Amino acid sequence: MKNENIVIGKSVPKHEAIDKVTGKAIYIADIKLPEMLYAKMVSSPYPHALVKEIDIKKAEKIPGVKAIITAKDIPDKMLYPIHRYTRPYYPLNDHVRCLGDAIAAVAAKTEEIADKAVEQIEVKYEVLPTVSDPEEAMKSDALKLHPDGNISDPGGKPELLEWGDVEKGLKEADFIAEGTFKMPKIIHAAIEPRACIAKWEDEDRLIVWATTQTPFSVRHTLAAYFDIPVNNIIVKVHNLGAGFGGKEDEQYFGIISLLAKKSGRPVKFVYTRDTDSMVRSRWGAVTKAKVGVKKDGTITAIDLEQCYDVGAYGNPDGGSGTTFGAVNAAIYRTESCRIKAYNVNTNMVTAYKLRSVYVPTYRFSVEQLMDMIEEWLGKEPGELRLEKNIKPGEKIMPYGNIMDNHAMDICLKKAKEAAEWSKKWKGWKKPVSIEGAKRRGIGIGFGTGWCDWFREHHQGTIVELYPDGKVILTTGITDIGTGNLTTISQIVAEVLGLPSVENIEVKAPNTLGTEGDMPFDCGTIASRTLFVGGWAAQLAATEVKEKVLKIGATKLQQDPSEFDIYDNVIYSKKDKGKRVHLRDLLTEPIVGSAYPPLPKVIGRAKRYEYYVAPVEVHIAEVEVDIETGETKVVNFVAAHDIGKAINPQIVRNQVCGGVIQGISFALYEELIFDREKNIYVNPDFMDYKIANIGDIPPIEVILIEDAPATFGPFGAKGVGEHPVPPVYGAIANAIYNAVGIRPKETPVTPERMLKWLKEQAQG
Amino acid sequence: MATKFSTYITVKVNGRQHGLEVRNNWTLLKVLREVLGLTGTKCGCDTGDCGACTVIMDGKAVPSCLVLAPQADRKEILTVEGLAEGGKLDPLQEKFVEKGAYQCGFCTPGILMSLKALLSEKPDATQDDVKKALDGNLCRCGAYPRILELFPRGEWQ
Repeated sequence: MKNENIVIGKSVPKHEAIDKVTGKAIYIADIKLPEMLYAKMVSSPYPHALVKEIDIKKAEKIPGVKAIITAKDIPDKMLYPIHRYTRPYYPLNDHVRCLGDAIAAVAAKTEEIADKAVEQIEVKYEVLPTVSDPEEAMKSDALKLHPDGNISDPGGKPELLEWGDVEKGLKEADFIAEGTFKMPKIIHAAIEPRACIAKWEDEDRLIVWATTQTPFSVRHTLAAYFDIPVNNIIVKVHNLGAGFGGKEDEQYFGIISLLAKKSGRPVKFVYTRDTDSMVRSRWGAVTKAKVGVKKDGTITAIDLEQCYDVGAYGNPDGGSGTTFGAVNAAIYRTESCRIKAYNVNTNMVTAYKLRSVYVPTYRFSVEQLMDMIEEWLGKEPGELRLEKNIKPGEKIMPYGNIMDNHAMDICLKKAKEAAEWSKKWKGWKKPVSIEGAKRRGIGIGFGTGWCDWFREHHQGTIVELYPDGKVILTTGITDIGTGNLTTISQIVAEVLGLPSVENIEVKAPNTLGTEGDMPFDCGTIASRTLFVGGWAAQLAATEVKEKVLKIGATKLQQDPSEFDIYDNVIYSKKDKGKRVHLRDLLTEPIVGSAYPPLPKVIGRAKRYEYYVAPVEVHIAEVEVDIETGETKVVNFVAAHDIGKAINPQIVRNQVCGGVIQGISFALYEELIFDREKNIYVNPDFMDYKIANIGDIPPIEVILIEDAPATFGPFGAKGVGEHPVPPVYGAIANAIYNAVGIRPKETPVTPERMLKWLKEQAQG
Repeated sequence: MATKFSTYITVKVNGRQHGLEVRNNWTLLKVLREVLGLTGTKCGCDTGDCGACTVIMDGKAVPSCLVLAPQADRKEILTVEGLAEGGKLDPLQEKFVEKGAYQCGFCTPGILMSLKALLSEKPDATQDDVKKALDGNLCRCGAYPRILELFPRGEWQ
């Protein structure tokens, strides 16, 4: 792809930019409807309990209370989110499995009245023991949270992915790098709390204003639950205050829709900060990892044994991600591999996907083990990793899908240059600098992303070109704050020869909602929307362009192939005099629609034949204060192979955002449960620390365009989740360079660091 | 007039005078969003920890969820809706748009107000000043780098 792009490669401001800086942008909690009621939930103060009795008599009598529902007032049906199932759950439970599990809900004229009603609802619980340790919960005699036990996989078996003979591989190794790595539960903590409004228009027509990344999933789940046609439900998103995987298809949409039905009025519900933290979390995970290697650098085995705490209603997707696993653990060429993962239910917050899902468990462990091996082999950090990375054209085990174009080598080279590696790296066990108690170290973390998942779950994109040059782009893609709709508009503009996106109107679940003909898309997840939505838009726009050129060519009595379009003028490339303006050519809009080509699928896990490969290399420079134990990141370089930066500013923002989250996860974040008091110690921003402006280092973002994807929109590859996992490797390896300690647990708090330093001193 | 539960206050918001009966336990945030319908100011936590509700009160940036409504009596409040004058964006807003110093936009109103208060006091604020001023404004999407780049003199140049 050469550089005569019209609008691709430009950092055009997002469509909604002015609305967002003037306060005009609408978020769900801003919406007020006539006759609207406010809802509050009754949730269990115990993580594990049976509800024996609920007495709502006092609450019902409070003036202004319009509806109360409990488990026995609603259909005895479960909610089954169609998209990426969790353990199914009832909207309201009488077997409470976690704090925040709702057992009743109230709708009242004001929030204060609803709060009063909640206080007046009397509940008798039979308190059950709290299951908080996944390794305990796995045992056969553990208290069962679900009828079929606590292991959230079919038949209670672990997820297992293997090829070759790992035992043999480990035996043949000349050196085995190993460790046990622990990562705690963390929360998405988007600044916007989850919220929704439900309004029934008729017996069987429902509108839901929802903070969701997956409006079509919400629509399908509710349609199945209420037994009404899918097209009778419109889900509107407006602007989303970010999601990071935590705002998809949660229980409360069902609860609030039930309240709206019972009261006959629109009902609004907004989570408070501390209750929002109880809705979804990321897994907690223990990973026992081994990498075996021969003296010549051949990797003979990668062996991971994992236990994921997926909480009350979590499932493999909130944990190991099932058979997707190999794609990221074994991006290093190895003779054998075994990934065995248990996804275990506990009475903790339900785990679901959080930006980059399970991949951090691999990067936190395997990147450190590879660094350990590089030291043992006397190589430079990153040297063996670069060599063993699956190269373009190579087959990825175990299904044999083919690695697409990528530039891992250029990422490493450019990252090292920007990080001043040759100046700073003094050698193994030699810190970058020592100044008093402060030790600086530098380290490298690799990553391999993904971006074309669920191509088959995008029903299509429609592009309409009007005689006056206006374009309407209709897409099921939801913008969750990242700017994907702006990027996709740029793709359409490029194809149609438009120098700006000003005249492109976007109809999407954000604006129009999932109305009628809006084509289905499974959601803004898996870093897929640019590639999948952008490709569909490119093809739809191409269809429009071809039609328009044909019409123009016919009018001018020439061969369509010699025509092109720019700024609404169709012109002959051979004879500039032969041109016609769109408005003189068309009387009706030209429509094109397309979905991305369905890939060839191979292997039992439905892997696509070609693996579109966004790759990245991160380099962190850290400073550890050995007196206070505090670790700070002082410099950070993130080199990302993104194929083609359609909107460089948007891509840079995504990378910075993911890096900052990665730093925050690695150093600060942990949702702490007090087993004695049976409560979370830090569900709100006062005590759950996320990185603030003073915690971040300068972050240099390098966008590599040397290896565009061989198919898809203009060679672009997705980026959403990919900045997170490599941060773990980079920071962990930098800490090792600084103080000779390989962190086995996150977050790397001062307390933990001091403990490790003490253990190190004691030998 | 104050009763046991409510108070009558007069408050100037974005240049406009209002006379309002407010419950004593309402916050200024609630008054702005629910009574006056100015939903540009956001609620991220309601406990003063995230900064999304920051407004300028008598020249100072304050978390409006920690200001009780009666405390706003006879005060002058500026919210994000009042930044643009006569349809013309404040230079801060223009820069935010141009440089993409926001992502989902939820924390943006609070950040704009904190920065407006800072610049009113210190027109030549540096990146270090900005770090202090935005210490209580959380952004989960990671707009901090772009925000710092809007200001001179610092490691983000």
